[in-house]
Amino acid sequence: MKPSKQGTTINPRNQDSENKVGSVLVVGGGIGGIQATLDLAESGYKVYLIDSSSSIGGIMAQLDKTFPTNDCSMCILSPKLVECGRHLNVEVLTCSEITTISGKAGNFDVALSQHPRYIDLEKCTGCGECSKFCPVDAIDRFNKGLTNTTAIHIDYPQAVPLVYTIDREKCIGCGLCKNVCLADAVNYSDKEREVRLNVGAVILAPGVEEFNPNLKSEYGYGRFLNVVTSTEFERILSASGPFKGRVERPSDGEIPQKIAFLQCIGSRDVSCGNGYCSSVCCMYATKEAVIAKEHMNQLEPTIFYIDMRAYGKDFDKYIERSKKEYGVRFVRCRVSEPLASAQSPGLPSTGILTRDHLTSYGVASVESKEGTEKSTVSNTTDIRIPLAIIIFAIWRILPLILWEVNRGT
Amino acid sequence: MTAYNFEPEILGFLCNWCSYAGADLAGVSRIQYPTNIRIIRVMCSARVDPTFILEAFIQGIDGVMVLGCHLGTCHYLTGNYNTERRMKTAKKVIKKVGLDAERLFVDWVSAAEGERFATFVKKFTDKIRNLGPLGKETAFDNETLKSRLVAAKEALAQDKIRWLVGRERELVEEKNVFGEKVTQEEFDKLMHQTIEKEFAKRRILLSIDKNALSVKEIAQKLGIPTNVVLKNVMALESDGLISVIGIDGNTPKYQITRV
Repeated sequence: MKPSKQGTTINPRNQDSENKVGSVLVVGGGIGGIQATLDLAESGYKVYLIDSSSSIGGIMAQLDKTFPTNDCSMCILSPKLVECGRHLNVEVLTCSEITTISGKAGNFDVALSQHPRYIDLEKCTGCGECSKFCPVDAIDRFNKGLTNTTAIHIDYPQAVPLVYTIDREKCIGCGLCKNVCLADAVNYSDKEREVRLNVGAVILAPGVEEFNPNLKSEYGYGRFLNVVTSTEFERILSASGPFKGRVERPSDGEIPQKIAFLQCIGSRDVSCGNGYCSSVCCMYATKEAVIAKEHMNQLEPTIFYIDMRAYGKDFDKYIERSKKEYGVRFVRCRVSEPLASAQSPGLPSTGILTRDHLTSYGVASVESKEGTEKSTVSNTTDIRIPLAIIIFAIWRILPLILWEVNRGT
Repeated sequence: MTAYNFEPEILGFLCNWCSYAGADLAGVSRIQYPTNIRIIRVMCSARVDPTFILEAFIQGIDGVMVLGCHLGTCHYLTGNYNTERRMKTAKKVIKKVGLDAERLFVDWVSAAEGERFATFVKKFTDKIRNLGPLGKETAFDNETLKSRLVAAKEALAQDKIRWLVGRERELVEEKNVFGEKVTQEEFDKLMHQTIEKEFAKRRILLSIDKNALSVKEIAQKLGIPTNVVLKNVMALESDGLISVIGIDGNTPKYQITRV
């Protein structure tokens, strides 16, 4: 029975608690948001988990392995995804973005706009017949454009919710997917919907995004096919990725002999607005070097770093192990620029040389600043098979989007 | 005239209701026309699948004529509108193979137009005679030309292209499932990309039918850039059509998956 408002003895605190709502909104369906959601749900709170993409999972779903244990990323993530999908206290809202938040702590009114996905969430079984037949190719964003997908697609096989989505920008509306759909889940008249939620608390878990490597054009991203970002390299390493786990050069499918990782590209660099160290790159560059070596033993990975920031417990041991057991080479230097190989001028993506003194290392590569980004370049002066992959990896922590909260009355 | 007397072999697909009757009229009217043409009667010109055209070329035919009823007079109302679009796609693919698209001739002949039929046959035969035997306009040897034709035919047999061909008229002239019209340019661009991709994929499949090859070797053999070959190879591998049978040093070798 609710306390009466007319009562004279009501503690103002109780009056406050009367207006408090026991549900929570988690904004962002990456691993952080997912863990927060599950912890809250287990504690008995009703949780709304929203994400702007068509499925939850975020960047962790794209990774191959995790440091320092080299555990498979998806093996850690997918049970949590499934749990979010089936937990009675969790409601997952995908393709959703916040338009307004009003109210105050304990009682927020949140308006979401939910973009149409043109597939019925309840009916779709995720069988994939539609994408087998879809005649329109689209860039596979999950695989960072290394492969193509179709206009009707799903990010990855373990996606939650396991429901296909039509990319309205690409789709020409031919109607084939509706014809072949066994579950009758395709609904072309799906519309933008507004959803209103009343929650007591909002957790913002916006995650990170990759530094835009085009801002550092001197490293050749976009000019040399074999210069890739660290996320692209994660997909290259992944057994479910475009190369089925074989480490191949995007230019011609050959296995590179040398891989250079360039650290700190776009980070610790005020010229592009990121004065900070993103703090994970040294570790994941080492991890990628180790995993690449595990996949293809003939590889010679070199990491060009400014200073090694193995910040966690026993992380330094991991670095040492990568040197001793896997032969990963660490070179302290900041690479200035990868150059096209003179041996194969027709293939700008192969051999990469660095300037002057660096060539004396036998590896020409550039390293990005540690912290925010890493990239790899391989190359050399004397290599017969100048197979180079440059990896730029840069992470930028997403700024929290601050909504102006209207406290109302 | 070349050193020998080249007489082209022409194949004609004629619709039962108009063109075939037109040819009949030419015959009973004793109008003279070249004997190079071999005629196949079809119930409607829309029965002529684009793959038939490629098959004709594979069999060594030098030119193909597809004749139907005049637009608007089709016995099946809209059959020849479909023919028009399908043959447009067939011409694109023929060009992709490297042949002169003029080797396919599409026009309309009514049952009363015996003279028109005879004129078309005469003109087309002359044109093909001047073009020379199939493939003379290309630099390919017979084997290469044939494998390109086979790849083109297989590409045309793929669901993706067939569905686009089948839907073009509705999408461009009426509306799509979202109630919007697709512009002709937009559609042509998509069609062009799809043909390019499917053709490349089929050629890659044919090139590694017998021997396992690396991406570089495939690229060299087919004259396609290595990164384009790689993308197609990855797509074919995802579809389970090809697989890596071994890694030779630093070079993965691909071959068709045998079931």
